[in-house]
Amino acid sequence: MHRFRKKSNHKDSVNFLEHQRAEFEALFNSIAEGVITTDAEAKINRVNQKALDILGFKREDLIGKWFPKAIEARNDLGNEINVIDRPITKALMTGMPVTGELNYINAKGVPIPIKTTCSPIILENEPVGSIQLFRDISEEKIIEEAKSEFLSITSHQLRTPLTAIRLFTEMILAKQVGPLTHSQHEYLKMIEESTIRMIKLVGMTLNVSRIELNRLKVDTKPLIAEDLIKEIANEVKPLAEEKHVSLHLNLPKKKVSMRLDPMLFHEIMHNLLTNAIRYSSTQEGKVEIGIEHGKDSHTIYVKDNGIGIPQKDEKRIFSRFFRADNAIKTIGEGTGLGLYLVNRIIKETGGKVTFTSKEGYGTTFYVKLPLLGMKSKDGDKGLST
Amino acid sequence: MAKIVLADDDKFIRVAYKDGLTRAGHIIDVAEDGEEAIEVVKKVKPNLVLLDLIMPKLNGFEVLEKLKSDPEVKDIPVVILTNLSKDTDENEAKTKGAVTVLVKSDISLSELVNYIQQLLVKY
Repeated sequence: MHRFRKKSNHKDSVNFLEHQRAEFEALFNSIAEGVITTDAEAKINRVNQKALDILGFKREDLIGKWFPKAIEARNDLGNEINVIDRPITKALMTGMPVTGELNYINAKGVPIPIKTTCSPIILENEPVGSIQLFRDISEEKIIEEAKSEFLSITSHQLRTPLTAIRLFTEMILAKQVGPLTHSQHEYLKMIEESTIRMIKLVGMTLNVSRIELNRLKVDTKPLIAEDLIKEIANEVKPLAEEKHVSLHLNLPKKKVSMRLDPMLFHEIMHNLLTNAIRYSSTQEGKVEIGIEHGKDSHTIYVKDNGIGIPQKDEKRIFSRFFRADNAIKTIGEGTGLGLYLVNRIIKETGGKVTFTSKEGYGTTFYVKLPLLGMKSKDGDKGLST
Repeated sequence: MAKIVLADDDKFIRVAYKDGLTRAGHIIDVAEDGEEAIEVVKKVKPNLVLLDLIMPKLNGFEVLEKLKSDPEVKDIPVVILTNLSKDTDENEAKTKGAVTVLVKSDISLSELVNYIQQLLVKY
């Protein structure tokens, strides 16, 4: 009796395990994203049906093979991605999940745009393998491309009539087509100002959209921030003089070179400086710009003694189109996009922007950049000037 | 005082720049499309060409390439005047031989007049 029972228990266990296994296979192959798992050395041990569908490989082409070689990856420019930069390598090395967008070369040699998250599998504190989820984003990319095209064309279409208005208004104001009454002059000045404001808005909208569509290119070169800051300070000098604001540069004698994208850097500093000037105190406005080179980062600050940011608005100051009430009272027009852009650009390039402020006393913005400077990024467009 | 050829497919832009630059003392000939641009440049042999990018028949880049490969006119400085973003193909424009790319909406008439003045001194 005893022996008989043992045998049937064993058979039940085997059936049970078989059933579990079949359930797992069904589950694994019904996941609607591509899933590939590997061992700790990145050798592929499981591939689900969706992964095979996306990449066009047969299971036997991939099982047992080393992932980075079995599935080639290229960036959007067509260059092969180094093994060390692949999500799977980073995941296994850092022990953290890594997300990335790249192109996997399918069985026919065609690059497929992919979004993937690769996580290390940790058992008793040791990485025993990795699990990667990925999906084909070809359609999303087509839509993104269409949006980007649409934006470029729309800005171009908007800018053309705006240019005409600007030019004709300028010529009339310059009395090139006859004298003007006082009222005509005043009205035309307002038309001119509105037109220039619209032109700026078109440009900013284009920039904002590029950042949001993730198409912003960050093109860095080794530069000296102090020199760029001096140039930008010169540019805003006329505005400062007009607003009776004194500019002070607190730049260290020892110049340090770091990687910067000159256009993006200009956009950040120009925005912060013009804000500081425009929202400055009506009496003895003072704006100070400085830079500190630390051991693991650089900090640029822009300090003003102006209207300050009300505490209740601090959380929203970097939001798109947000303008604090005191800002609107001080300057009627303003897009509300300046700080949004500054924040997005700095984040995109690996930095961080913070501020301290007291309403009625002034604000200081701090731009922290990584030690080596801005992080480069492949994209297809730079900033619109 | 210089001879300038302006190529742009927008009628108002042509009128505005022609009037403004004429009053600044220059002689302006205009073209509406890429093909006409090449004809007029070859006929007039101006001191400067202001070239739009988006034009019918031949676009600005195609015109630029043709002008720069024609020994009669290849040395005439060409400035791209566009309403696409400055970064759009600024490299391509310069590689193909343009002096620079200016964004029409971002530059006032007086700024353009000054720029042309400085450019003509150089060329």
